[in-house]
Amino acid sequence: MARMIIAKNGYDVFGDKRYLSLDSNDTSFMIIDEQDIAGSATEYTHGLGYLPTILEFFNYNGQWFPIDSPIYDTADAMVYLDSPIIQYDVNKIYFNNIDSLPIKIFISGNASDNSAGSGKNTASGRLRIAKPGYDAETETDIRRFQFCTAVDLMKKDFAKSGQVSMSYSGGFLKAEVNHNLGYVPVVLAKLESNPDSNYDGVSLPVNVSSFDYSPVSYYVTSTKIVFFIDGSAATGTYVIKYNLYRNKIA
Amino acid sequence: MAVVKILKQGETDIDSSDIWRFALHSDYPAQKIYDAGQAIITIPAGQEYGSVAVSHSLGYKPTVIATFEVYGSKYTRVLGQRNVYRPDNKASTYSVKNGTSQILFESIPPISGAIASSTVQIHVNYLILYEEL
Repeated sequence: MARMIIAKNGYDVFGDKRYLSLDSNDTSFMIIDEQDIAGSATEYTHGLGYLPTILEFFNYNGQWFPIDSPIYDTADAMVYLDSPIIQYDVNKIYFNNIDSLPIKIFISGNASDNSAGSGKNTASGRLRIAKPGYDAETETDIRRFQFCTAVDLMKKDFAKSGQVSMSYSGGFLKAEVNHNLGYVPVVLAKLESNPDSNYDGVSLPVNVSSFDYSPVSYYVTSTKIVFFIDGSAATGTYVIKYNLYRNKIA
Repeated sequence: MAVVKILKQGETDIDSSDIWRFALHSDYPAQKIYDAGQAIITIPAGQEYGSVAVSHSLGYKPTVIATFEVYGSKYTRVLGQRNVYRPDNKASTYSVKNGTSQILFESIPPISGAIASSTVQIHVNYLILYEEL
């Protein structure tokens, strides 16, 4: 079987898969839809017929937070508004958004391999790579594809991804990383290590003391990423790893 | 060195420096799926905590995007931690912990009030990506 592999400059196409843009032997994480959701919206119909995978962010005053994050303004003051709550089923996405904050969602057509459901005609484009056993010319359900050109991919910028180390001794602490892209990119982050190893490896936002307000989170603007710690978080060193993607939130 | 680029639908400038306009750009590696599947967290009657582990052989902590079942026959996405109501309408914090050899999906109870009166099953759909986070 023929195989197509595209690697980042300087990397071996048969080497570490983390540096590949495409490998026809693997399924790409494919964004089939992205939507700006008004704060007043209560639902959005994705119509896939199976559970999608969604990346979600919300906006407060030009700062984009991951869903479930507490909100701080650019003067580092806590803002007493609530993150939207987002839930979904095989047909719709539901928004409980009591403070009417704008939302951005990226919907992936990928599903767990055993997923049932009708599916939808989501695959198209001139370059189409079907999974083994499926016909790329006639198949239209994105779940049967490794890749097709009608979708968007999450494009990692290695130069702008990295980690920050924060020495926390109480109160509000932040660390700023400039990206200077001129737009708000997608950023995902996790705790690599922290004073309580129970939370190592957990993605942000996270509350690092089970029963006290102790958030570690971040927001993204058009020029920078701001990581922050507050409340009753244990004192000590927090190492946060983050990936910046050349996908545009706003 | 050659660069492979594919524009997003509706975009026309193949020489654009705005990388977000491209669906694929070989200078910016894309996420690829290592494993996709389903798991079930079981909380026995009289208990309030449940977990399920999924093994992998990547040797580093990969990106995991999971979808957990919540009250009302709906689901919510969990990257790291999320406060929810489980299928039996009791409060919980769902958590995903990324390890170098396994992913742990948990339903963690609050201080009190989350003891299951009968067995609770929480369905988890997950994607494990090759990409490290």
